[in-house]
Amino acid sequence: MARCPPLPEARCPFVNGPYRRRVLAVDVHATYIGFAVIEAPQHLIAWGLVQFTKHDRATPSRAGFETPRMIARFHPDAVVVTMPRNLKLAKDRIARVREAFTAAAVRAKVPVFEIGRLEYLAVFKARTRYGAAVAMAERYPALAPRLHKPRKIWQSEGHYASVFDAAAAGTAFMILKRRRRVA
Amino acid sequence: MVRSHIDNYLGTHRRHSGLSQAEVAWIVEAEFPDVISRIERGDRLPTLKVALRLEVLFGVPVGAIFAGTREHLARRVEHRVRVHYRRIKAQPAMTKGRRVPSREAKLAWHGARLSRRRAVRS
Repeated sequence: MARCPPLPEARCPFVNGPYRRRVLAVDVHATYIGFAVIEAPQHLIAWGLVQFTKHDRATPSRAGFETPRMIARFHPDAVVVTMPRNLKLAKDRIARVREAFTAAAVRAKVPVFEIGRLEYLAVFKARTRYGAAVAMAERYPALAPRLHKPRKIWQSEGHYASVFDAAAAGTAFMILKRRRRVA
Repeated sequence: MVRSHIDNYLGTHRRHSGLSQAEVAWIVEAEFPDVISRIERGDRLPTLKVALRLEVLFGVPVGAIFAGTREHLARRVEHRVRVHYRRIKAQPAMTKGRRVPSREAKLAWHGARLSRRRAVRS
């Protein structure tokens, strides 16, 4: 069975910190949420997409409904949410979905952290999201078959790219020593 | 209490192997194709035969595949073992002038079990 190879670095601040075992990382978009569950030291346990229909006006409440199910299934010690590059420019719908997700995690008594895209790109020394996705495909071979092609400028981003973003955010969260807690 | 494992890692092993739920269901001779999906979600537990076939399929012990469930059940069993030990110890050693052999055997078993656990921990 192909297992996620651990990092060559021996030190893992996450393991020695108060949050020891499992991180649920999510990349929130308006109509879908990409998630990845990473268990210490660095094993990819679960990953996937939770999709909402474009015409689903109850998207924020749907996010609030899905979050407790994911938390009840994976029992994370921490939830990591990716932060868009410019929060002010982020669409209202994305912001509402993020708030619903964060509120549901707080109700489940799970601490919520956020990590910016530039932060996790810096961890893997990648300039673009595709570079981080390639790094994730190398670190977690199970993700490699789903690695998308580099996006042309006129093409839209595939939904599955958010799974790689979530995996990158979760892995970077475990590596970084400084973390921003949101709730 | 923080749980160190999720209920089951069946989905993890399956996805790492690249098999689909339908393929796993066929291999382990599950009664219905959607059984694997329900097991992964934690909606139901597998039968003994299916669990053993999953162990053979993935090469991982059943207790490791269903680590969270095992952890939860282990806590309950340990609690009941302690209650049972207290009950046995509270029983009289002699009845009608005769020793109770089953009580001694049970106490010896508890003692041996406790020694094994201490040896494993050390």
